[in-house]
Amino acid sequence: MIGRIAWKNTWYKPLNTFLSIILLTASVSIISILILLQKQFEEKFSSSMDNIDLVLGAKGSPLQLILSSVYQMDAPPGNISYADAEVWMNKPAVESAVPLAYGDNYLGYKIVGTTDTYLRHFKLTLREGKTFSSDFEVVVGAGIADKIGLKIGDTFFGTHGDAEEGEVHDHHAYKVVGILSPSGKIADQLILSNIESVWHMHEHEHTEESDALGHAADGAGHEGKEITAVLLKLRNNMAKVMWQRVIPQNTEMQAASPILEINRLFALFGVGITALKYLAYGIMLISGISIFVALYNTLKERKYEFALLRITGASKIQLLWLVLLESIFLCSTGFILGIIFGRIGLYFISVSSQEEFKMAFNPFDFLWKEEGSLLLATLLVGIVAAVIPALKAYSLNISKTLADA
Amino acid sequence: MIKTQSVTFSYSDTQQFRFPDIFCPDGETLLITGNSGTGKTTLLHLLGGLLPPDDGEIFINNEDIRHLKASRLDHFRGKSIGMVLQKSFFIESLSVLENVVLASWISTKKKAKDKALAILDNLGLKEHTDKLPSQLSIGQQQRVNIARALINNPSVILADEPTSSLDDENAMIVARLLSELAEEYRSSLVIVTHDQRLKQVFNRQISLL
Repeated sequence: MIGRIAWKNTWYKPLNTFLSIILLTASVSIISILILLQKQFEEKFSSSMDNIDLVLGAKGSPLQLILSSVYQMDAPPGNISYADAEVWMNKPAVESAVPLAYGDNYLGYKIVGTTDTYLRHFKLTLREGKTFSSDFEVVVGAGIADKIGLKIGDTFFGTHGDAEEGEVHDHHAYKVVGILSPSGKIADQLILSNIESVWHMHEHEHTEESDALGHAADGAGHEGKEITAVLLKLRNNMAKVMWQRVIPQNTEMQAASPILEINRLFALFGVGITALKYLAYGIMLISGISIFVALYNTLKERKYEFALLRITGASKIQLLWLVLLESIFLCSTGFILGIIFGRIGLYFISVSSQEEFKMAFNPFDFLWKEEGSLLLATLLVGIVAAVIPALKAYSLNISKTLADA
Repeated sequence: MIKTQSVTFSYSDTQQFRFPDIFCPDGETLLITGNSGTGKTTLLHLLGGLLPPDDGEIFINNEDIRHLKASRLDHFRGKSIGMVLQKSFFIESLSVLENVVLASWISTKKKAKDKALAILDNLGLKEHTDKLPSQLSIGQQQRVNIARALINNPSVILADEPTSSLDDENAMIVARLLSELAEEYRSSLVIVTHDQRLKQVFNRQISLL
């Protein structure tokens, strides 16, 4: 019943509580978005990284090489000779090696030339159809198939490079022969073909060895052919460390470690996320102050209400509870609204990041530990804000209050 | 039944009160009159356990309320004492009915909704039970106060200037209503007032000087 009075009081004068709730909602939604983004971002990066110890690619920025080859997010630093790469791919220390050759895109989705080791390496399965076996056959990631409605047997023309608006290769059409099951990995947003498709698509062009976009260029046999990168899984740790030094010293290639580069990247944007979190906690503090002011200001007009409760038999502790509960109700409402708006916000972020980076986030994820502590923090703010008003209600002199009425 | 013996109280060294002994059996009405400054409200608060006396004894239902601990006293007050104040106070966010039911819940942990409805009906407030208190007239609000004071069948009803804000006609109605209800519910009714109009109504009177 004290709870019911507190609840009714909270909504009796909504304007008093409006500001506090808005501020709470804002801070909770910002924090929950950040928590979800950070966790899902790191998960996405880590899940695509599994099974890759080193990436072999052209010399340049190692981070760029990792981003382009493992996450399909950046342009590759350049191309490497397939023959040179094969020397290292066939070493006994290599458990599996996945070559990647970038050529075209379709509506912004990358078409990647590779071998069927790609599917095995990332443990991908086909939802329908078969894997690519001859030139210009492609397997399409689940995300693309669902988004643009590609079906088995559909054909399409690729666009040169990695920009949607490039030159269209209209002399060879790609044909969809398989669709992958959703995996939550980068492959959901990729179109896979064999490497020869990439080479043959560009053979007629007779361009220079390789162009700035890192295209695999033409030639005959593997001799003189180029690919973009090789994903390596190694059998022993010695090689993981050694090759990072040995390969750039002895060849025109580099070997970059995804874990190393991605940790550097996380450390970098971790700073930004931390700053944003502090900002959001700052807003929460302000909302705590606003709750305090709202409760404190109404004490004067509410002391008769408190006196009334006392003369009908309520104890001091019950009055203390009443004020604390009102604040806790406010904070819970702010928390729930914040979590809901946070989800809505993340949904929109996900829509736009999917268009720009081919990266989707799941707004229905719930992180019990992190968001649980966020709930505790919110409630703590509410309790601290209400302590002084609650103590005032607790120590109210009823006789004096009634005599002065 | 309410009874006091040589009750004294002081706000400060210069403001000391020595109250006459009081006795009021169940179902009867005692009128305590006096001009302002004679300690009428102070006496009422002493009787209701809102103030602790310096000395003397206050018995309600043979229970000396001076010796009750704070939390027991709160509970005792809710169960055995009904108070009707000069001004009407309510939990503004609760309906008329909920305000009355609340008093039963606080003291007994049970919601006496049917009883509350019956009392409100008895006081002619049947159509107003779902309204907010602020939507009623002052006379109606005073009757809700009375309903709230009665809900727990208190041994004692303490009324502080229950009629002074009402016109002649309504004052008489409320005064009669109170004493009739006290009789009906077998409660002792103590009214403190400076309202001279009530002196004609009640026999048992004490004047504070």
